Amino acid sequence: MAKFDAIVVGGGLLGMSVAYGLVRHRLTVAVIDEGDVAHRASRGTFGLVWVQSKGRAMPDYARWTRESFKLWPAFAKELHEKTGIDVGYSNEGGYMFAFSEEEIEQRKIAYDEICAGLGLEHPDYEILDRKAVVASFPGIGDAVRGATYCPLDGDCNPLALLHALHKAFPIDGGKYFPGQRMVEIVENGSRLTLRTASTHFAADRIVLAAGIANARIVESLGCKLPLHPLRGQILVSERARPVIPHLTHTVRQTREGSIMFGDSHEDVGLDDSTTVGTIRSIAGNAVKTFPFLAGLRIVRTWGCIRPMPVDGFPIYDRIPKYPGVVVLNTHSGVTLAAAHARVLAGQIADGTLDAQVRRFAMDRFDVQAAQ
Amino acid sequence: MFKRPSNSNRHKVTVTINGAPVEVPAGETVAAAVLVHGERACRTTAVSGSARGPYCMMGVCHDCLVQIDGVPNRQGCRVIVADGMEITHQSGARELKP
Repeated sequence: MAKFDAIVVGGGLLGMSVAYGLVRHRLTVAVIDEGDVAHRASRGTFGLVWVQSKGRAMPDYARWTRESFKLWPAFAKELHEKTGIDVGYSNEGGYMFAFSEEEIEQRKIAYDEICAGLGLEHPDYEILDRKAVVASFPGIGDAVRGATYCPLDGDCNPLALLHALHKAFPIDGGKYFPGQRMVEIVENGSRLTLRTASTHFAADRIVLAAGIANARIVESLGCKLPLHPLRGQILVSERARPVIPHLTHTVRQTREGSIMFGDSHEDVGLDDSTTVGTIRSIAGNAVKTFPFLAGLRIVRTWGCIRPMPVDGFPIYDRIPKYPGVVVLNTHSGVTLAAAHARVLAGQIADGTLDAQVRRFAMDRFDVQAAQ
Repeated sequence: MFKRPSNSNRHKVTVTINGAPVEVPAGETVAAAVLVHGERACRTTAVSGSARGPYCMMGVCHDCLVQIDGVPNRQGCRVIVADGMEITHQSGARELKP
């Protein structure tokens, strides 16, 4: 039976960020990946490294997001140097449009709360009126009344990021096992055994980063994971010359020219199909925002299941009866990738989760239930 | 390089390929018409600007993109020729006017 210091279950952005971080800490690491039948949220991401709007009800999450933002440039550079893959990280700031005065007011209240929670002396976002938005986005629709702008927001090519992590991991000694659906975890003293349909692995610790499948795995370990699936649908257009000059929350033009649209969130279980109604609504919103996109051809649409912790914040915790098993879930596998690789993985390698990371433990849900 | 079977007796339509009038049997695809017209490339890529021409002829590879009657990025292998159709090369990514 193959033995490792750590096994990571799940080869998506979260699992690979942590696995890569673990091999950087000189652990022997195996990644067990289910295969193409898995619901891979990493294929359904927009690629935003997004800061504004995050952490209103939880300053620790706002802080953690900003920590990842700070680590991202060096993280992207390191992956590029190691693998030759440019993950396309850019942090030129991001815009979130508002369609009424009321929406702008509410955004201001929410963002001021975030900034106060962080103890910022000066807010790190700006409210832009329509005139300012028109100056930044020629041809923008009349429906757009204003925007919030945050200079910390950025984006990357999420497929390149996943590719780079998969390429970097074995360079530092990691072993990747595709097509392996985890069946069970058995504890023998301090040794953990992980069984898949075809083989066994032994390890000192196991990291569960299987996205929505974490719910099933954690339940088999006697614990309930407060997680639900959210479907997002994404539209991708034909390539066009640069026409969306800045990053926005719902419309993003890639370096290659494709324009991506996707701002839907549907609670429909594990159904990852696309629907005409939602696609029409996404396209309609895009044309309302940028009327000149009306003739643009959509070349692909797809749906994906994203795992959403019920309060929206990441879950990092140990399983009570299996202290060697760490469960990780997040809706922000791209934004937090740098923090996962450079901070969280180090703590998992050392075997101690610090106070900041422990804020994302599951006991927060018990507190909510008791209130 | 490509030739039509000599026994083709379908009626002809007239299209233009980059402005030149060309007679094409009805029912043929735009991509086929471009190839028989002697053109290897019908577009340049959006990123590097290198030349591409029809390849899979079944709607998959997207290498046969052309402009048809002013509409950019159309898959030539998925469109049947029609009388008076204007076919032009697709030069890089399409343009949108904000």
